[in-house]
Amino acid sequence: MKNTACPPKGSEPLMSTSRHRWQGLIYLMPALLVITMAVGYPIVHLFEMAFGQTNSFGIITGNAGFKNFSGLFASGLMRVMLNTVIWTAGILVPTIIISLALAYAVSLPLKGQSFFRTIIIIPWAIPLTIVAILGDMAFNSTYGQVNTLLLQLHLISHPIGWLATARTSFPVMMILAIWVSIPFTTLTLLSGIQAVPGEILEASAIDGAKGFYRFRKIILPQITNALQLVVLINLAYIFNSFPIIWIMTQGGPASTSSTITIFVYQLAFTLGQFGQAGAAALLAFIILMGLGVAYVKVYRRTEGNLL
Amino acid sequence: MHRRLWALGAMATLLLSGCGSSTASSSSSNSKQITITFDAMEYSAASNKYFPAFVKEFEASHPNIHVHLRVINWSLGHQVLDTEIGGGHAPNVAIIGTRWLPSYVNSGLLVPLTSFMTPTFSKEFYPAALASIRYKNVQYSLPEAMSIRLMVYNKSLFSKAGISGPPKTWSQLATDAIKIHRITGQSGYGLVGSQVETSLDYWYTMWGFGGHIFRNGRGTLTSAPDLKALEYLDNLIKSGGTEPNVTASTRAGLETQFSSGKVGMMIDGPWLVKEALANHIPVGVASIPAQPGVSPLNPAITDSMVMFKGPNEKASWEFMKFMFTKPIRTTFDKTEGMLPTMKTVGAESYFEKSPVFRPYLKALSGPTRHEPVVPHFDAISLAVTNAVEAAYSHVTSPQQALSQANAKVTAALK
Repeated sequence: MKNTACPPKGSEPLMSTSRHRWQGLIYLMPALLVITMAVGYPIVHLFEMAFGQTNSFGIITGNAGFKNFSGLFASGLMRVMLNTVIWTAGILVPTIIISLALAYAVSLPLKGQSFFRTIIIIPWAIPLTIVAILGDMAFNSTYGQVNTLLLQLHLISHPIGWLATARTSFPVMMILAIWVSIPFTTLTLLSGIQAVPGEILEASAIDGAKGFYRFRKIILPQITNALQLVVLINLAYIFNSFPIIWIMTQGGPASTSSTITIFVYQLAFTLGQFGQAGAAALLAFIILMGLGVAYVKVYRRTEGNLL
Repeated sequence: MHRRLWALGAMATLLLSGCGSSTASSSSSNSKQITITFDAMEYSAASNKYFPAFVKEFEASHPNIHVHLRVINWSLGHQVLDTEIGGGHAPNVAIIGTRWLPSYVNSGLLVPLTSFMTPTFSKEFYPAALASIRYKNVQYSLPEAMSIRLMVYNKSLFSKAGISGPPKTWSQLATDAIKIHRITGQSGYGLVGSQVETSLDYWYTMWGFGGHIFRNGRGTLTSAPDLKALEYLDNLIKSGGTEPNVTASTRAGLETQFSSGKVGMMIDGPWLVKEALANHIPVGVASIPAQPGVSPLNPAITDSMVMFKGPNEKASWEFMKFMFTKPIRTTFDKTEGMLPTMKTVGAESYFEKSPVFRPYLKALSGPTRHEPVVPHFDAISLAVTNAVEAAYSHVTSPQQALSQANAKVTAALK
């Protein structure tokens, strides 16, 4: 009798788990709603704009099919994409290499370790707009400190117009972008290095591993997750960066230093071509997503041996 | 669990109904209170002080009207306004670049001010100021800020180079500019070759050569005067008549150089004279040169104040009228170094006797020209800026650059 009154063995935990799942989902609903609104809606709207006919205020008035995309090539999309690739690769690779070196250096038990860790954070504390304005002043051809210093050191014979052509302005802006990207990257990698179990480091030390060999063979394989994270975040951040170029050259002269974000901004807010701007932004989004997914896949396939 | 959810739901309903009733009661208690939105543009850091002060003063004299003020950075102004309009939240009153006027008018967003403006009110403005912002023969806006651009020259550098006075023709300007550079080592002519005002600095020369941006709905950048003007500027750069690295020179940067005595002459507004005199640089002001046979016309640039269609148009007009009273205009023009657009302000001794304003006010009564008020002018300006920058940086020849830009200008005009 007692046995028949009881539920079948194992059914109570199952019901309980199922109820817990629903409860969990209910608790997650506010966060899910916020994420849907904040991320999902802009993406849907981006698609609407890219394939829509828009007026000069960005209001969708009809369907344009692929017309917005075909107009992009005549507007100089290819040159802008090439610039974006150079910009992204030229900042991402040096940032990762320098940050790895710095993270490893400040992880070592050296004198003044906390001082150096603080110094590394400083560029992060300065707003990007201020960095760009200071950079613009420093590299000014007439009164910039860089020219003044180089002239005083007799390294140049006449002032250089750093921002006058893309050949010099692009590297200058990339140096500034690397400078501001280093703090976050270094700190994230440093936390990865600090999480490496002490026993592994001790064992490797006993086995005679030291210097660069110790870093490459012992530490680097242990921080693959942190490395993957900083590459992905920096990839998106650098690809989409705007303030430095906009403040220093506005993509000029003659759009030669323009990247995809400057291109999209000018299409939308200077030319009032919101449909084309949406199409360009959608292309950039797809390329970035593709790059991110490809990177993660290759990274996993090579088990972290890819930098 | 269900009970908890019900309880949460009930609490939320209570909170929402509580919010609703509180809003309703507050609106009913202030049923006569009208709120209008005013989008002002930031001319300088001082704008964040005088615009709130103007609003406060207006509200004190109009207790039933509350003005919600937003002071927007000029460089973001167009974007912010378009975003507000796109989102269905256009302001009641706004300061705009006159270049943006046609697209707002053609989209049916602006209230024509002709029905509000009495003849007495209209007569208070300089006719040139009102005319410069008229679109399709209708007054949709009031002249918020006006500046005429003239040739400002450094008397000291001219004297050192042995030049007796400002150039009257562009050919003379080239000779003088090269001479200044050769003798004093400073830049002869300050030419903007970077960012948005590049096109404007080209237009000064192009107009002086008798050229046009477009005619009869088609670009005319490939015409002989337009091409000659760009080739002239390109040669001036090559022969050392301008500052080095023109494609890195913005107007703001050049103004700093001029005010520190490093530029012989440049075309600019009264604020440059004010800044240079403050730095003890002896300056003279003259008309913009023109080639023989071309009548010299000094370009005037005006910003507009407009009223967007919507509720509370009467209250909006009350506010606009207040913003065009003598004390408000005087404060604004004095602070920002702008030319008075109203006769009563211009007649004040501060402006009439001022070495800064006097030559500009005199030019205002002479022949002037304005940037054309046509739709998509920003697109035209960007096309010309890119073309001129490409020619200055030798990416393409002047002819190729103008030819490419001309197609874009014609497309923008369609």
